[in-house]
Amino acid sequence: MTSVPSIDTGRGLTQVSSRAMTLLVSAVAAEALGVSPSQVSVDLAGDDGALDLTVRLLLADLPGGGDDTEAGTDSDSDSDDLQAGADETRQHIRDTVSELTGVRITDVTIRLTKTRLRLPLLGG
Amino acid sequence: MTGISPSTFPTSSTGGPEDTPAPVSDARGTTVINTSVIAKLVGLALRDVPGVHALGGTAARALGAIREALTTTDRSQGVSVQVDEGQVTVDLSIVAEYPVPLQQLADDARKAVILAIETLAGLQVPAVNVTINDVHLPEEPAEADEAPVQ
Repeated sequence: MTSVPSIDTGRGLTQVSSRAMTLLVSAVAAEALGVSPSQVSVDLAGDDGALDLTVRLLLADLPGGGDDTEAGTDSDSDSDDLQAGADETRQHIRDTVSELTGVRITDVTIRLTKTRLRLPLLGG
Repeated sequence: MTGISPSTFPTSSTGGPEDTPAPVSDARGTTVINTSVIAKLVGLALRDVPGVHALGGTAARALGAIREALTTTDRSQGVSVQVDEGQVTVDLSIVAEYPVPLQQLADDARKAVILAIETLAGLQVPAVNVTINDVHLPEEPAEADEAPVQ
């Protein structure tokens, strides 16, 4: 898993764990997208003191996204609506995460999916 | 005069809040402050820092919950103290409240720890390393029952 860059304050290091960063990004993205944090999945990537964020969520979980059967018919308008605010949403996530963590965020990617994979629970 | 006697100090550091003494000598005796006491001071100081939800990692908090059930509380949970040549280095493991700014939280925790140790124990603190190991979300369910979206 990608480690979050630590910050040297002069009287000690401040490190944010990957788990903490992932949860925080999930919460920020969920607020921006109008869903709950449990409906959002986050990947962290990058190095050299900066991070790239990938936020995934189910299209049907978006407000107005409808259920799976309606997602096909409504997907065009939903996509248009999302596209219209996509840049603003990504900018909001980038700015808020940077402000809350002190870590530089270089890129935010939002991926909408139509299916939810149920993975076996892993320890840790 | 109260001073630190490097000759009586342990040269090796501890990996946790064990009872390696931190002696302070003066002309009429030696005061020994065990590192477990310093760790407890740190834990108490952090109680008043806004945004600190808990101390320690998942395993430490699980043990802490068992201790609380047994009506004892470990104030030094999530705190590691190392004493070397009269100087104290502290490692903290913190669960932060969302949406507190994490760097500000770490700075506040660091200042509180330095103030507590320097004021109450009279020891110098060159470094307080802070790890934010988890974030507590107010609406977070007790156990996630949704699989991650891929």
